[in-house]
Amino acid sequence: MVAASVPRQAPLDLLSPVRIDVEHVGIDGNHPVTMRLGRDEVEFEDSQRKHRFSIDRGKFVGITRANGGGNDEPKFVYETLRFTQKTKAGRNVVVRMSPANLFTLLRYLESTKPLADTP
Amino acid sequence: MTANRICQLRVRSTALALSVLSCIFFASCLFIPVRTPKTTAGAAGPAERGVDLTFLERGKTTRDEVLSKLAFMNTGCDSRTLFWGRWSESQWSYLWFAAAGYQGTGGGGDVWKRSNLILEFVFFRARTSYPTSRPGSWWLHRSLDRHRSTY
Repeated sequence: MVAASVPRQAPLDLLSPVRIDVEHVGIDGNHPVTMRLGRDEVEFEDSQRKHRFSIDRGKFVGITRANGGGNDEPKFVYETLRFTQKTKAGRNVVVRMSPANLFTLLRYLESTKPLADTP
Repeated sequence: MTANRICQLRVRSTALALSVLSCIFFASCLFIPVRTPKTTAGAAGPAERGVDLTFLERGKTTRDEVLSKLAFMNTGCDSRTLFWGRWSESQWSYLWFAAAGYQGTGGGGDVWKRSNLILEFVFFRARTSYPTSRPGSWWLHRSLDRHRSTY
């Protein structure tokens, strides 16, 4: 369940968690969020501290494209982060991010994919 | 045709005419498309001359050429083998107006079309007849995908 596949890239260096800045798209607007992508878990911390959680990497199952934004914003993409367990922000979390951060996130999913999923 | 039937038709015709007239005089809605000069916005900034991809040739175009000529659409993905360009183009604007009774409202905007360009490169060191080889560079390997308005 990945929105876009990318050609095989060098795996991410996960000796220390990779940090990306995104925006959580909520009904009351967008809030800045820091995501820390670790080898075993993902941390999600928004500026309002309402939706702060960490979850096992295995429960972060993918990303799909979300509707949102206008076509006049090529510098942003809207994505839905899919979790198998309900988090403080829900099971499906819509975020707005730069394409570069989406690329990092896709590489992260690829790098930490469970062995069973590897072809 | 009976007098009753004629009376019914007159009532219906009058009601229809009144409905049409009331729509014309008391409520209206307009949508006007307007052709505008082409505007291109890239992920890294506006494009001054629009999008020209005719220089892309597999096996000939280098990564450096792509990075310099398509800098405005570069999404900044940190990869030597991949270039992801993304841009939006607008050639049309629209105006709309709606009114009913003594009140009205209106607005307008641009119609944008979004596009992506994904290119993959391979590292290639060209050999010459000399013992040493030329410095290597990343060359366009293939265009993976070019799909409009999908992202």
